[in-house]
Amino acid sequence: MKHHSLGEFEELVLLMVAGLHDEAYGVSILENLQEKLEKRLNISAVHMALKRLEDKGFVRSRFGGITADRGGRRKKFYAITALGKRMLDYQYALRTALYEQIPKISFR
Amino acid sequence: MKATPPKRALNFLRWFCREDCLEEIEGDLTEIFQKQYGRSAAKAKRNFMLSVFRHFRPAFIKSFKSRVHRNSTDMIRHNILITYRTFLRYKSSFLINLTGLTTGLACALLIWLWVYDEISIDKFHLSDNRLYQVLRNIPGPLNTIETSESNSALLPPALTAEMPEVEYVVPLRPAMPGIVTGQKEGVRAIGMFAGKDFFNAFTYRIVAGNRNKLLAQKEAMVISDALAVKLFGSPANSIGKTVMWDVERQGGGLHIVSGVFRKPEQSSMEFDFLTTHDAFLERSRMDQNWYSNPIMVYLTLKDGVEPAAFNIKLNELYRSKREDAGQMFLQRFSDRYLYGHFENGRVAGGR
Repeated sequence: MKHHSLGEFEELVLLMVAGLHDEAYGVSILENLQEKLEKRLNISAVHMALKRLEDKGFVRSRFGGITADRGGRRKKFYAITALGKRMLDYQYALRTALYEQIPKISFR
Repeated sequence: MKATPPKRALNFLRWFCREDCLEEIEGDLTEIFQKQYGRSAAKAKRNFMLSVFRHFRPAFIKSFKSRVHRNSTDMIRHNILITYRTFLRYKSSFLINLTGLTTGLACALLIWLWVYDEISIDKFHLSDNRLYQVLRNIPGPLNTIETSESNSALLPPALTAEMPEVEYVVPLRPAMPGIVTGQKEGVRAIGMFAGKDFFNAFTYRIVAGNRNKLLAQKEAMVISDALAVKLFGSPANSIGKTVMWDVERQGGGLHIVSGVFRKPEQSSMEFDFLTTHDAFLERSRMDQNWYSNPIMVYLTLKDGVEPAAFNIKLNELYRSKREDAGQMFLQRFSDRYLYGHFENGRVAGGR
């Protein structure tokens, strides 16, 4: 996992892709993130993160069916790959390990 | 009724976006637009345009490089590649070639600048194509012909009186080096005695003074802007001031500054000030006759006068004044600089 990098926002998007499981596409990721973060985001940021994640091999995509409210355009669904899951596990373990190093005494 | 996203923004998106990203981006943008449109149409439109603009970044912009491979462009690209590899492989000969070519190009450029400068010498006068110097071919030793610039002081008045083709006649006589003194200490300066129409024929820029009256009075003196600064501080300050001029072997004299000219860089005439032809005649101890030739004579012909035809009339005039006269002829003043050397009465180079 050393040579793979994952930015902060990328990590959030990757977590969201994993959480939405099979229902993850641009707009659903955006709306869920906005709700969780309580912050307005632009869809371009999500698209950018998704593109990077796909280039790094953390997610894979497939096209869904045509829906009317998308002007005849198909949805692009994302799913996390095994590599992506390992990356999340690694990040989680790393952060937990670091967090546990905090000496309790300092915040008494 | 279904709302439609802003046309222009959508077309812009379709124009720049990569094919493989377009469907996802356009679909998502449209979906968001539809959702927001119910609440506020203007806000939805604004947001759509902003989002399109936010997608305008390298990751989503398609390659505009032409995919058509033409023989000529591929060949050039290939040649450049081979050249680059050769540079890497033969570094020393590359360096030698590079320095050689650079030096060569730089030299060629400098030579071009120099030639351009030489060609444009003396061409700045407004009447350049009508401005001539009167020269004489006279018999020299051993059957040769010598070409002389000198002319009689009687020639200018004769030309004015008898040749209607002539516009301005300018007698000119370089003076010996001397010292001019104004308000401050004296400085060395080169002067010339010139006819009153000098600045009408030779259109130097006049910084101060009236061009038509610069050399009207006998004591008048026209100085260069550089000399004006040296003598009086500024050109405007020097008008009407008295200048003492001491000349080797010719004694001193008082002159009054009537004007200031700008000394141009592209002039073959080197002088810091001019005073009048009348002042010269007064100082000269030579007799005025057609056998004594102390001055140079320049003239401008009127528009449309052929110099060849004028030469014939000029010689008739000269022969009527002096029986053993040589051949008198005109040479264009601006040609004098690069074609001023004569052998046996013909131009044989110059400079």
